[in-house]
Amino acid sequence: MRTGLPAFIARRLLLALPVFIGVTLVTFVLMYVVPGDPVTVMVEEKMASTDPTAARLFREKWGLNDPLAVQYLKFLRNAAQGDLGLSFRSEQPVLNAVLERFPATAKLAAAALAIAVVIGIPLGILAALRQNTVLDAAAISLATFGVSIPNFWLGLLLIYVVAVELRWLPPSGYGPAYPYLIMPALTLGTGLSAVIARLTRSSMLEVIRQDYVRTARAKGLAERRVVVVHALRNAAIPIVTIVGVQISGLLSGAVITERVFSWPGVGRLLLDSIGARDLPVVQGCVLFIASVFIILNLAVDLSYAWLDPRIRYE
Amino acid sequence: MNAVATTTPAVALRRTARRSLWRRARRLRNLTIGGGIVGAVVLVAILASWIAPYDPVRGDLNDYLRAPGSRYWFGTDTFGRDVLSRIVYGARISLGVGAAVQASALVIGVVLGLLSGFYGRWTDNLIMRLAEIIFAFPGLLFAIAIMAVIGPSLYNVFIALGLVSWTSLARVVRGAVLAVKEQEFVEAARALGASNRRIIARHLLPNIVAPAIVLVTLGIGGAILAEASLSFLGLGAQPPTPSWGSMLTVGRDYLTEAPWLSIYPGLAIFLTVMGFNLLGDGLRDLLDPRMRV
Repeated sequence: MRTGLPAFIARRLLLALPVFIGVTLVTFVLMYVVPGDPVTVMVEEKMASTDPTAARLFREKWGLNDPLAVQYLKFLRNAAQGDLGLSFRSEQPVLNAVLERFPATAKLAAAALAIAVVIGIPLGILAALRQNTVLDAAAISLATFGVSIPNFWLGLLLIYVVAVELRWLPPSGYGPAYPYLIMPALTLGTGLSAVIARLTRSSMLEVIRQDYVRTARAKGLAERRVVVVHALRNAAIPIVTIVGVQISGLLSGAVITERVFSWPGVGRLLLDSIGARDLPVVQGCVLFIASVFIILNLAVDLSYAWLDPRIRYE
Repeated sequence: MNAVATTTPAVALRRTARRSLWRRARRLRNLTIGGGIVGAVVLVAILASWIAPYDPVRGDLNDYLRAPGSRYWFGTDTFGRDVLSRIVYGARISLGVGAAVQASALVIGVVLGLLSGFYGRWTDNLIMRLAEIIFAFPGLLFAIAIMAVIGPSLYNVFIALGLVSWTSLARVVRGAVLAVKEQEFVEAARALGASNRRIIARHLLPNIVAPAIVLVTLGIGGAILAEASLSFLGLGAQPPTPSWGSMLTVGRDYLTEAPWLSIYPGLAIFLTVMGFNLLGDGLRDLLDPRMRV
């Protein structure tokens, strides 16, 4: 029953808590067990000073002299209130920096997902309907290519062919116009489209022999209606599941794609901050991406009930 | 009575089974193509010092960014180094990372999977929750975060990828343990006084060999891709190590003047990863057709 829904959401969010704690704990603890003190390096680079007092003042200012456990609990308490701390570099709130970059990443990921679905699902359906034909073999080969191609290489090839040689699109950068979005989205979406195509094919092959599909055909329904309404909807659950699982790949891939195309998203902020040893921002980005990931996965789980009304959340 | 029988029926049966497996294997196109590609890459890695025409690390600055030609088939880079030689030696790094990461994943996965399945209760709960957390989180991002903190180096790539790669293996092993644990032949073995170690070695491990081979093969491809990604981001192998991923980092900056710096190393990653993917899929079709998606 629908009444179980709020409880289901609450329980899922509760289950996400260990993920948050795990992620923060790992980044937090690792920062302190590694040889080479990031603070000293930071201070040396930023203030061009090897003076130990500068490092000491820096530590005092940022509360880095507290015991690790205290620092960690402080961080968790603040994070729970939406305060991810201040950037070492800009001294601005980390959350603002991340939120400022987020729309670019969201735009990229959404466009990539759209491309993946628009290419992957029809390709999979077509391959299944024409099983064991040349078309099927071509679709399978294409999917194998798509799964194996490193997205950063695909991005570089696109830039070279489409932007440098043909001059059809801008090579990189970010603008309000769509031309900037096409190549990054294609780069990020190709791998996922291949995964979706493979799964759609196998899932369709399973349902297409079911009695209800034969019944639908026997009723004299148009083939398109049989495929889309009767077969695809029943084949959809594994496809949606895999999309959910692959969202993590999409988010990791966004970091790389943003780097290839100089796309100003959260991924590039993360990489820039790693380069600058701006640890609060690194941690903020990781935590933020983890949150987005958990929320999207919850959305995927909730979509099951819409796809298959027999599914109930208890 | 057949007095001249030289083989027992069991041996003959096993031989027939092996022969039919071989016959099926040759018919699986993904298996043969994937196996061919992987075999070729392994050979290149082993014979690198004989195949590579030039030194992969030392170059001649007079040959700065030479286009591919008869002297340098794949061109040269910004240090005048031969791109082909760097790609040939890069095979060692890619395969080394893939094998090392999957070896550690195999050890961690099998040990934790066995513990989880055998002891159940809180041990199982703890290990499986941990696996879920790691599995749920974007693996490459996790590796990036680890690399950000422990610093970029090839050795750290092993650690970062090893830490995130064991979860599927642990799950498969745990599943196999649970499936077999309550079966009568295990009970019988136990009744006969077999130790846990003997039960694991004789009755459990044979059941997980097939899925483990498939997972590890696919995992090597994944690890190679992950290493290339980390190195491309500047978080993996450091110069002058000839890693395919870090070669592409330079390639990106010279895409207009020297596209060959991007094309060939990327092609090497693509072919190798595809080889392992095809081989893994083929092995799955051969050994465990039920796992097929």
